[in-house]
Amino acid sequence: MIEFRNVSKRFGPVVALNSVNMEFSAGNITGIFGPNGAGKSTIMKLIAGINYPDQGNVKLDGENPRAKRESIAYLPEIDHLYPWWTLRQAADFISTFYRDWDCDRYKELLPFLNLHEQMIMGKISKGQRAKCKLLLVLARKAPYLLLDEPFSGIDLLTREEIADAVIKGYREGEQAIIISTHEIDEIESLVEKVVFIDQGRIQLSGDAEQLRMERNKSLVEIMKEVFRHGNQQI
Amino acid sequence: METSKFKMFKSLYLKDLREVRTEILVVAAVAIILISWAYLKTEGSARGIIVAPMAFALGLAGFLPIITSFKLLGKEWSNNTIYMMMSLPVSGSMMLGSKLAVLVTEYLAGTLMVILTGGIALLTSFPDIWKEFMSDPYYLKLAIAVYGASLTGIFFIFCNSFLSQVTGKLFKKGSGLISFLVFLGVFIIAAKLMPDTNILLNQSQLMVSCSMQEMGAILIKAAIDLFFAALLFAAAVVIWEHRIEL
Repeated sequence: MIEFRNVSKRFGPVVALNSVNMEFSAGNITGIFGPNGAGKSTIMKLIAGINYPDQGNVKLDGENPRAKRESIAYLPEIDHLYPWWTLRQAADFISTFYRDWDCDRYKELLPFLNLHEQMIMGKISKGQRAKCKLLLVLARKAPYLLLDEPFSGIDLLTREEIADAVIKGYREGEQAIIISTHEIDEIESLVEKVVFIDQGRIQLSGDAEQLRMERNKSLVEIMKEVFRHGNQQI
Repeated sequence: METSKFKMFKSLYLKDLREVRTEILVVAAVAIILISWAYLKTEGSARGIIVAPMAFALGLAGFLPIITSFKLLGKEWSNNTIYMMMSLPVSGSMMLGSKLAVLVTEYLAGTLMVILTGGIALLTSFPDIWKEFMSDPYYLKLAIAVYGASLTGIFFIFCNSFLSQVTGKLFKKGSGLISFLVFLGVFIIAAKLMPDTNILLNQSQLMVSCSMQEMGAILIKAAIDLFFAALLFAAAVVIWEHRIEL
């Protein structure tokens, strides 16, 4: 379980998170939705242990996230692979560090994502790089999978491939997947829990299906409504 | 998938070793070309000039790893690969230790290549040198002590480079300037704490007038350098593990 207790984070004058309280339990796919600069990536970085809260604390299974890095498969928004790496070299490197690396799964996902091992990171398209990054996190059986803006700048067909790969790799009941995005359409049907965040504050959170039923609206419509009115809490 | 600390260290080391291949090749090429040129263009006692290109190549072999020490760590930020490095389940000491090992490899490979090339050229030109050198074991011991001291000196510089860079990364603005000031500041503080930090100058002076006391001084100096380098490395690791954010 991932817990945020009164977590605040500032970057200079910008308040990225303001007294955030929330929990992510295993066995769910959670979508963190919000406009650009809402604080989504900060939440992901705090869970990944590469940022520290100014106030409050973040616990992953009761411990500091940095101490649990082997349990986290983190896909940052930016390209974080060496440009001279082939996909094979990247896989070989990453597999050295994680016991949960699954070679069979890696080989299974390669053709599924239309990738091949000799692709050089610096010489492929943005969409292919996004799929390579995704492959490298999905090839692990990590208890926590963090996908930060996985669809950013990616064409429609590739988005579908990425969403399909996430569903294919999801181990229901065992894994917590957290996806942060401002593009809800692609994962509307995927997410079980949702958190709507803006200006560092949680505006609305809850069970996706329950929210749809209660409001008789899609998540996209709910997001528009929430961010129009703001400060609405469940 | 089986993992081990050794495999992790090896992966990090080999990844970074790729970054210094060019520098090692440059030093080797410079050493071979300049020393061969001096060797082929001179005859007899004039071949003593070989020590000039040798000294230049040695300087290059010592200088390039210092530049690399900034490049190796700085590139992680400029390539955004720092996101991967920071999320790997390894300690700061392993992360920085692997980079340190790569830099030491670059220094050793470069300097030993120059010594070997220059040594062969000098020995074929002046066969008596080797006899004289081997006649008194003190010279060999002194040479090893000086080389060891140069290694601890460069070690100190690498650790200072790491500390200054991670300190600079704590600041969003003026990161480069802060790194530079810390790098200089550590040298100034070290100069005040240590009687003589200008290792290269010291070595050349000691080479001129060697005695057993001077050899002892070299070894003590090397030990002090190593101690300070360890302190700087530990400080860099603490900052890396507890303060660096992305």
